[in-house]
Amino acid sequence: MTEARTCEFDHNNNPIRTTRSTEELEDGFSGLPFPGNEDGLSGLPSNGDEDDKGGILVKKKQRICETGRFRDPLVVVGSEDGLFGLCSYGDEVDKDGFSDDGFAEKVKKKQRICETGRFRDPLVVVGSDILLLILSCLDARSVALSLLVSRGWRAVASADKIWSSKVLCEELWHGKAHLPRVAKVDRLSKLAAYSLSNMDGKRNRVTKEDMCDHVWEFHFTESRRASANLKRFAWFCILFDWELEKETEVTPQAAPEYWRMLDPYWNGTGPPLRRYFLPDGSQTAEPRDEIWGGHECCYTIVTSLLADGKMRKHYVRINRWPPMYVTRKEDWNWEISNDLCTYRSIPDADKEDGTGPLFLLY
Amino acid sequence: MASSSSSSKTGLKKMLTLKSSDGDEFELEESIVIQCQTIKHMVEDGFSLIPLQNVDTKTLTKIIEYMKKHAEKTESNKEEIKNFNKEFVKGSFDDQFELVSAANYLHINGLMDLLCQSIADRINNKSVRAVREIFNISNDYTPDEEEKVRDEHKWAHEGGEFDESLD
Repeated sequence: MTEARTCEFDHNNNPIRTTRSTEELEDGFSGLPFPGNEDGLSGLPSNGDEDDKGGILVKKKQRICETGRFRDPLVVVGSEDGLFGLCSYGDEVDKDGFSDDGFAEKVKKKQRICETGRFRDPLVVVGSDILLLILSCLDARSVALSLLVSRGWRAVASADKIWSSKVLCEELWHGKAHLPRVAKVDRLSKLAAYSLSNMDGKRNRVTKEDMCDHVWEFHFTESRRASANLKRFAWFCILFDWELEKETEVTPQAAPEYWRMLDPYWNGTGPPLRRYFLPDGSQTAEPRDEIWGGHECCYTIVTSLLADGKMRKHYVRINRWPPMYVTRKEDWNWEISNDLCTYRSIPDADKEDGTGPLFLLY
Repeated sequence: MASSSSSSKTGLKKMLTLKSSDGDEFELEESIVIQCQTIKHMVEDGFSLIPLQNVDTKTLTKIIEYMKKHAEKTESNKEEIKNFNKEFVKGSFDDQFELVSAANYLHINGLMDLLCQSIADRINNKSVRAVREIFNISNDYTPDEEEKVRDEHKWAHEGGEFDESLD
């Protein structure tokens, strides 16, 4: 935007027109509700030369005020772009800028307005190019907050330059186990990618997409409480597929020792076992999985929502076995576990299109 | 390249004159001034009196102070430069904005980075309300739009305290 506008000025062969257009736009700022600007401007001491310019400025201001409406902030922001865009292109200023008194005058005026002692919008004072550099130094959350300051600030703060060149996105994504599919959509702005990633990373509700996209490591859980009798009873129930009425009371506290002895996670004979969840609702394992046993296995994700959208209950159930509760880790990893076993999603951040649902879920 | 050829011509330290927008002139060694890319290009084009119509005397004095200090930069005085930088960026937002505009115009990259970072540090974690108040920015969003933007970036508004102070 800046460059286009600068070109407009540069390629305009009529210097008067160039000056006027800059002035008009600049007046637009004063037209914005900044109390005290007018006084600040007219109350300034000035020599004859400046009086002349000042006169023009005031007249133009009146004309704009008479029209009785504020200027489009984008135009206003844009004009600042143009003006300071000139400043930032050293070559052009070297050749032409120094001889352009009108231009220098305006810069001086702007500076004097700043000296009234109250802070003014940096977007107006230093322009959007510099504000962009300043915002780039903020942390991601502060940049996202600054979107709300005003429309002009949002235009600057949502620039891809901030969100990608500062590698905020990469910072956010760095070291994460999974990257959300929703943020990997083509042509999404970097800001949107950041926001969506951040919100998806906080999602605690596991979906079928998550289950199917990831490969899961499985291992039995170690005993936390020695309640052998209870354990035995619970396993009895499970093996005979009895419905446990009071799940919490009779759920076994750990997998039996002899099962854990078969589990490479515990006996150290190889990498942890892997489990796969398929879109048809079944679960499978690797061919040489000793624990698997070859029986049919199906899973369901149970979610009950309250009226306000909050989750009342959320768990994954495999066959009729005790429900497995879902937790989300700091690195966006999933863990699904009960007292018997634990499933952990294997990191797959390298997947080109990301993983998980295509829509943002809360 | 050009600076070395011009100094070899005279055999002396080449002096340059910077002229502020208020008409004050400052004479400085070329080696100090060429930290500033804009001036460096002008020196290469053969200028020795350099008018800076976008920079007033007050700002130019500060910038010269910065360039002089940073021209002394060696391996051993890193700490000193660090302290100097710390002192240098103290001042009101207005002063900093003027400096940053000038540094941008003069293309002094180190100073640009220093100022942007110091301004950003003062804004970081400030609430939206505080930023608006500090800079007298009026909220030109409609309530609906504001709600929409807030909703799109909910994560930024949740959890953690914001700095509501106005300094």
